[in-house]
Amino acid sequence: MEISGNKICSGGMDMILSVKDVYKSYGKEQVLKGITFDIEEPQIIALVGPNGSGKSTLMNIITNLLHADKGIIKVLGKSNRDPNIFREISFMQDNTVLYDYLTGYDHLQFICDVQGLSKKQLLDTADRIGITSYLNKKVKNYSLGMKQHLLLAMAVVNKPKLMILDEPLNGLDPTSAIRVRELLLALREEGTAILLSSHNLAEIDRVTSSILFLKQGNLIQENMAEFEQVRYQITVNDVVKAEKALAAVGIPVEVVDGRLHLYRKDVSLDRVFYLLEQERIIIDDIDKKVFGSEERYRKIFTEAKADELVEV
Amino acid sequence: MSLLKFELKKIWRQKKLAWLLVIVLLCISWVFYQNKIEQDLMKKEAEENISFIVGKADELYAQLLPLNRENRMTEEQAKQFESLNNMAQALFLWKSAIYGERWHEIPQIENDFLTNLAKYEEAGGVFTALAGVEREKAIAKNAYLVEHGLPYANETYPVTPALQMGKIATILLGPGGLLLLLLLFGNSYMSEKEQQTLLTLRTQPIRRWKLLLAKYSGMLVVMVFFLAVIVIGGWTIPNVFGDTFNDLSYPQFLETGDSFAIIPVWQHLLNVTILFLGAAAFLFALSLLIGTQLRSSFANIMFTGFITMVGVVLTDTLAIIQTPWNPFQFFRADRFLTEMPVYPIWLYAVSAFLWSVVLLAATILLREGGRGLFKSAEELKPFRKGRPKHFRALWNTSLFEWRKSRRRGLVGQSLIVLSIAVVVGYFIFAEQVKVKEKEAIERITLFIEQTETEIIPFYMKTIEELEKMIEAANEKGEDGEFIYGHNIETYHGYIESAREEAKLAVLALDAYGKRDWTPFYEYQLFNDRRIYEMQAEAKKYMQLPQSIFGYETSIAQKEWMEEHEIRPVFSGTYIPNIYDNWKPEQRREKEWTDKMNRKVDHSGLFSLYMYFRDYLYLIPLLLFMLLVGAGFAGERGKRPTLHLLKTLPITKRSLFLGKVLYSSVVAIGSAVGIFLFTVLVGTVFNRFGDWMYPVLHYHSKREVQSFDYTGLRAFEGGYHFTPLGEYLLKALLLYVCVVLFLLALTNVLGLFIRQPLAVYALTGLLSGAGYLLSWKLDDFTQYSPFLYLNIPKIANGEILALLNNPAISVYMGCAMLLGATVFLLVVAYVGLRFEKRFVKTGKSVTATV
Repeated sequence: MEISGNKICSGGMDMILSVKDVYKSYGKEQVLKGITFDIEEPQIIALVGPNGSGKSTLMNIITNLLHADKGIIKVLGKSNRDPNIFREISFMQDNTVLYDYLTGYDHLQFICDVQGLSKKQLLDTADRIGITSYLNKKVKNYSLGMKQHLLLAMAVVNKPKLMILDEPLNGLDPTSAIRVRELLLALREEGTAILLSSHNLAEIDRVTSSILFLKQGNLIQENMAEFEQVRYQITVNDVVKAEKALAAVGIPVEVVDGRLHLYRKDVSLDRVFYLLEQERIIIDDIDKKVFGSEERYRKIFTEAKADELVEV
Repeated sequence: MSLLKFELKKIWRQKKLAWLLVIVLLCISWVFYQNKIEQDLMKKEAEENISFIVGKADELYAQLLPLNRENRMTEEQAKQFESLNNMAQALFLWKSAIYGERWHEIPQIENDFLTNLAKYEEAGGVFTALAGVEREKAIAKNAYLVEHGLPYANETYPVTPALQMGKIATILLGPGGLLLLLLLFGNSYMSEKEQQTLLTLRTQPIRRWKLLLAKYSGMLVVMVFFLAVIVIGGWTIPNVFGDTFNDLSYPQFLETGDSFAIIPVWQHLLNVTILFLGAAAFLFALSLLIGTQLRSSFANIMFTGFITMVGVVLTDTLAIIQTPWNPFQFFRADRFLTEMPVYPIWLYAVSAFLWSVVLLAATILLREGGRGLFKSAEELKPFRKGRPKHFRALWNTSLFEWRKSRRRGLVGQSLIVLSIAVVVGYFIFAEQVKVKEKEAIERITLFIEQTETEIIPFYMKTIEELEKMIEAANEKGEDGEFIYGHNIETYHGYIESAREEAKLAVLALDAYGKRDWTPFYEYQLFNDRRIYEMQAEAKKYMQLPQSIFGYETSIAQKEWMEEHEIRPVFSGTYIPNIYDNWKPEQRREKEWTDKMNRKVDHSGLFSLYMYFRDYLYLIPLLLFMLLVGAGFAGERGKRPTLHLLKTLPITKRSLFLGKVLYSSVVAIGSAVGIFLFTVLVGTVFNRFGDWMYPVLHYHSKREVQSFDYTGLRAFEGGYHFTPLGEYLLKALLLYVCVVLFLLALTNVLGLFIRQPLAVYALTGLLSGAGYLLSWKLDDFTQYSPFLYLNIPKIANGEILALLNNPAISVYMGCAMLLGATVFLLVVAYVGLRFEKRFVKTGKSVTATV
């Protein structure tokens, strides 16, 4: 996989989603300022931003629930205004779109009616998501987590090529969250591209390959592999000697709380072991810390200045 | 207190008070505007009111004038002549004051007239134009006006504050106002339950009774706000744009039979207000009680309305329960507040307070929870064993609409309530028929009994007295035979007529028991023709409000029924019709005439006929419109379920058409089902009815004047009779078209408007305005679909006769309504096809990564 400008692709495949120059304003407030990105391969992409940053607006525009002021969106080569795109994509929204006087089964049955799916597909999906036990209860009796599961089942049942999920992990207990994560990874393996929004950055780190940060109407795209940072915390018997030894060969190292802190991008662990062994320094403990989206999020939304964004 | 404050804040934030304010002010302005544009009629009406008196006074004056010229008057006649002269002068001044619109002068002039009238009668004169109770009322009212220094006011179309308030009160402080408050605020508890915001309140350290009490208090505050808006609006608008004399103490009559009393308008308004407050307090308490027991807002409104309706109907039927302690009596204020008071008004206030306390106590004490009247199962079976159906998009959406409706259960609940109402209605009709039949048979029996014992002896005695008068006159040298002889002939005629009528009555009574209707009709026709002749003669000399048309058609109707051997439907000797000329002040007489001549039968077909004739068809129409007519507006708002549908491979056009199709099928199917159930109930408990029963159908003047006119002619206009079955089929056909049109309208409005309430309000507004505007379209009026919303008046030709437009018919109505429906749907469909197809594209200016 390669990152090429505003494309998330591995090359050679048809475009799954193409968003080009999308603008949207609410009154005088411009929420989206020329958003452009493409998805060309099945993968999981996260859309991250603070509340009110325009994530749901962008998702609604992609699915034609909202109309952009300007811009072109293609889904699987078709205009997003064509309702037939929903034969191959699905959008999981928040639970206010559920009919609380209908059962879960009623919701799925209607989607199967419309999508031309069989009862077996319905039941398999319900089983896969784990909602069979309460499928025949009215939605108004569901908990938040149950509603999320139902919404997910509704999004999955037609085996879409692109799934857009708005806060899919909202209200899920840890067991459910793990299950959903595994489901998303499995779907990706089955060839489904997933665009999801979430505030749970730890979960995002576990499933996504790319993150789209939305700030002040602009898109900041990051490849997880590119900016993911692994920091080693090494406890040694002589920290001063170890720091000097590493610094002497040009390896950047910090000493925090009596431990050596160094980054994988700067040095390989083998080299560090070799150098420390040469100096007869004994390694007591090594701790590996992975810093991903959360670090990046902090940097973008709390440290970076607005004028830096264009340069990212 | 903090809870009440929170309640009021919620009400304020929901903007329902703004809605209430707008509706009330619109209503007041409309009433004022209507009255204002009718001000020119005040002079005409005032003139008409005295024209009969003027005519009579002139006639009497003319009788005495030759004697005066020849100086042949006795002393008494001279006094009478002088009084008549003064009366004529007063009447001249009276008319002059009317022409000059010097309304403040009229009471004093009338006073002079009445004083001279009293003198005239003291001198032995007889003035029949103003006699009996009417005379007493005129004297009492005049004395009141003079005493309080009040001018003559326009009571029919008032533009003065208090009198106008009286008109507004009949609308806003009556059933209309109560319904408005119930719809806007009666659900406040239930809606919190539905939206689960009640859970927020329940998880606070608040006792349940305090919560309920705060809710109720909030409703009472709204009620006070409602009253305040009516008072301020009703006072300000006439003061700014109308006449501004202090009419608070203007006289208002209370009448029961021949007894009457006068109270000032302010007292009447106070009475109306007290009863309205009582009714609203009871209604809110009832709604709160039901709200704690049921599960949906709709069911809450339905049951509150249903219980109230049944209570009011029962109270109306059973005189014994018409007491202040019956809470449903509050809702009948308009029926007894114009009568002499039987109970003091404060008793109603006490009763309302007690009932509210009882209901609130019951609300607090009864446990709340899952105990709904229509509690549904926890586990619901999937439709069609869970198998999906792969239809075309339109059918899929229609099917989904049906499934939603099934799951909500509101259509089913409404059908149950309506079915119960139909059965209750049947028994009410049956009771009315029983009473009417009993009264009619008793009248005939009494007549038979009295003919030989009282009526004929009375005539005989009168004849004897007349014979004595002839003798006395002959003794004086006058021609007694010439003076009184014709009266004796008349009385002999009466005796002959009475004997013939009694003979027919005996035959009728006997035949009625054997279900042989011919002799019965013979008797009725004899009676009707006699009354008709009397009325026709009387109309030559008097301005009677009843038309000859009403008598002629009544006779023709009975002839038709006799010919077709139709079972008698008890009624009077008259058919109230469009040619009647009732004046506003004759409202009570009109109501009485309508009531006496109201035809009631509890056979299947006739029951259905009454549903159309009495506008009861509007109940299922409006109910199902509210249930299924919101279109897309019902899927927006707090629960934007439309967003789910839009992310499925269905076009918005299919969704739209699916909704229209489903709502039309449900609204029409349910209503037709209810209508058929009405016929079935009548058939099972009584009989199917007479297909050939004659229903009056008017003809326009243009039709009557045409050379090829084949209908029947009466004095004022043409007509024919439509068989009842045919009438019902036409009415049903028109009903279906009206439903289709209104649903198309609401669905189209639902494309643009987010709130279902706003959709219904706008539909109502458009329909009302469209209907009124249709009457102004002259030769094009038949092309307005709104004109045909008034089904009974289209089906019986009333509107066609009033507008003198023969093109107006049921079939034309169907064509126009269907045409308008198709037009609306096509425009919406095409509009949706092009919706946002073209999106602006432009140059990207922001660099992205």
